[in-house]
Amino acid sequence: MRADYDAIVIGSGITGGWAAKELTERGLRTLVLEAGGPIDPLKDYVEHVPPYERKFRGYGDRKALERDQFVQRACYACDEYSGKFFVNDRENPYTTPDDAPFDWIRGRQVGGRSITWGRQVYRWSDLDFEANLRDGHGVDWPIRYADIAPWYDHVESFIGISGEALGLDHLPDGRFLPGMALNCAEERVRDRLAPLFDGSRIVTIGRVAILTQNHNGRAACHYCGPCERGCITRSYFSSIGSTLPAAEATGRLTLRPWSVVSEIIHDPSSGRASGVRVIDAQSHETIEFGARVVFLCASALESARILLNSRSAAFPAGLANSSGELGRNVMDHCMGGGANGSVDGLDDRTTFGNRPTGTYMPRFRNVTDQHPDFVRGYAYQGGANRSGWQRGQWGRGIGAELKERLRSPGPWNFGLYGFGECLPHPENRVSLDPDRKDAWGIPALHIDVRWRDNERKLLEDMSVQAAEMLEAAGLGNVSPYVNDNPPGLTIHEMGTARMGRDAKTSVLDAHNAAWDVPNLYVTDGACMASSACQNPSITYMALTARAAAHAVERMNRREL
Amino acid sequence: MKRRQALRVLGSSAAAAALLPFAPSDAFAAGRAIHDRLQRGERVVDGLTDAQLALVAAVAGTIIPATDTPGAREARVHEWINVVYADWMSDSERSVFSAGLESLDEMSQREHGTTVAQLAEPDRLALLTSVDAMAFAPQPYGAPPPAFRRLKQLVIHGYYTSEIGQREELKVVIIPGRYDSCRQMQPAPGGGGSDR
Repeated sequence: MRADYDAIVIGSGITGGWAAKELTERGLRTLVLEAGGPIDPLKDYVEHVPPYERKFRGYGDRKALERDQFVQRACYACDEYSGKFFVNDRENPYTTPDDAPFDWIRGRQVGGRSITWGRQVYRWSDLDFEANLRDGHGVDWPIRYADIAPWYDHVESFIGISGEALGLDHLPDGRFLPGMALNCAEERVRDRLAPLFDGSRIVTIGRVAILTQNHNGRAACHYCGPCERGCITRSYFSSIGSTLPAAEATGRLTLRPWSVVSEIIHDPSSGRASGVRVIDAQSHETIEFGARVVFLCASALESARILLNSRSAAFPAGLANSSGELGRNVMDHCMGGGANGSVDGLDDRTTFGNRPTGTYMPRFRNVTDQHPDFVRGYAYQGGANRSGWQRGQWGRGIGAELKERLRSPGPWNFGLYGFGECLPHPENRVSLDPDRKDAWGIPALHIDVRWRDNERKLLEDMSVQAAEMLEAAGLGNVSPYVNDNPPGLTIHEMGTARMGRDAKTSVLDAHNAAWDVPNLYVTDGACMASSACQNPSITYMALTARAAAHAVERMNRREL
Repeated sequence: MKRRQALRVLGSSAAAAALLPFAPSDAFAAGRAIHDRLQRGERVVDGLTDAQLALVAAVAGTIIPATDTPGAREARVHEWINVVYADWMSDSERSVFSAGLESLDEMSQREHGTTVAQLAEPDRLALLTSVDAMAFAPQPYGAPPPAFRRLKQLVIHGYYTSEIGQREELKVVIIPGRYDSCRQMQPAPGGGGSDR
């Protein structure tokens, strides 16, 4: 098959954009294939549209959601403004066992889910990279913090991360722009917790890929609030606002939207991937493109689906699957144990502007000691605010009295919401459904993923610890809870083609290349050998940039 | 009444499904009629009756009255509630909502001898204050929430998300340009609340 391009990148989201930038900047003529359509930020971004310009004013077009986005609507961002950045569930079906619900939240458009992502950015440390080796779950990571640290520096300095340096070994600092401010209620909780619990319960501002000063031609945040609706000033990182323009500037980028990749073509004589097969999303025509190297960046579950669907005599169980690990070890962070409480004594204080992040409390469990009941740990996102007019809906009162009362904000409330590490388990897996197909005739995924004992214990502990801390900090009306969120809804799914130290127990090597197919790289969440509890996107970005550099070095040495 | 019911059947629970029992030519004609209505900017599903709209407008104006800023009646909240009623609520929610409106008028007739819409403002405030107190009093275990709660919820949401609510009452600043983390409270409308 003729190599039409030096490189093909499948996916244009967080990792696809990084692969495109790094490969084109290193001289490769690169084709980026995106399953969805293009978007026009001038028209499609709606972060400044007031509610009265939306028919249901934030209630959502319920009948359309029930018909077309009955899965996607579980995500808070799939609303009357941003629903267009989420897939149509009728066109993109998947199946689950009846007793194992899974919410698969997807975005198919140029930019992928980088348009709607949560923007939280936390480095991993060796506490995370050594975890599998230490407690025996999953396989050992083939890399350590020292391998990825320069690549964290590389991606962070390009995209811009705001946050506070803490000097913690287990949550390394990055190259931070000034962090956003904690509000006065958050400062109070921080200060009251500081002398308690041996100083292990730290409240800091969320580290986010949102600019607090102008950076690389992008403007500082203007605090309008709803990032998931888009950002015309490109103040938060998205591939279409940041990496894809950099790739385009090289003159070596070709971006093809409406390109649904059905499989990667394997050449048994060379043992390499020779290209990809694409179904045009609009015409349904089948097209093939050839290249010397293929980067699979379609998101953890989509990438697994493409590989599982790339069957040949050499790889009857899916491409690069000689280990049998492809599609297994699916992880997603277990989220939703937490607590809320009220903060007294700050009634004369309020905030102005819509700060697009909250607080973060780094992991404190199993950092220096070992909890008897569970391994690994969790971190909390959260923050404080005062309720607005919305509270008028839920209580007594009418007339001029009510209207006047709602002119002042309600009580301060502070909450902690946990995100826990999920263990890699071989029976948490995706496979091709034998019957269901998507709108382009590609087999749908069957997803069988369940929370297991360790995740349930983490969720419980998150709730108990959050309540203990809020009590200790002197908050009122402390109420703990555990939300019963299905796996998938955290939208941190990962692990389907894990990296490892050998070809028998893993799919990818230490540089994200498939053991079985040396010119095939998988750099999205599929590559993860464990999940840690940090929001994962910055790690995917760093691994992608690192893999791209590796691929080009090998190509320059004529190894690929 | 019969005509209204027929239209509601046609419009509710997805027009397409309702068309199925029609012979193909009738279905085509009915489909054309729906398109014509949409083109004229009308809704496919019948909304509230004029009398119901007047009732909702009056209730809205009493819950959020005009003071130094316009109230819910001026913000035409009843029109938005009509949109929610027709195009968002399920059939069963619609009937609960309509029954709730009916019971308000019954109570008004019983106590004041006229409809809610016809009441003098002080009488309407007195009536709705007692309805509100009942609606937010502790409810028997397992009882459905009082219908008035949803009406009030819609009035408040509709008002504060309206152009008048956002611009004149809340004075929402869409592009604040900065974040003040600990501001001394100003006695200004809107306070620290946000629409977002």
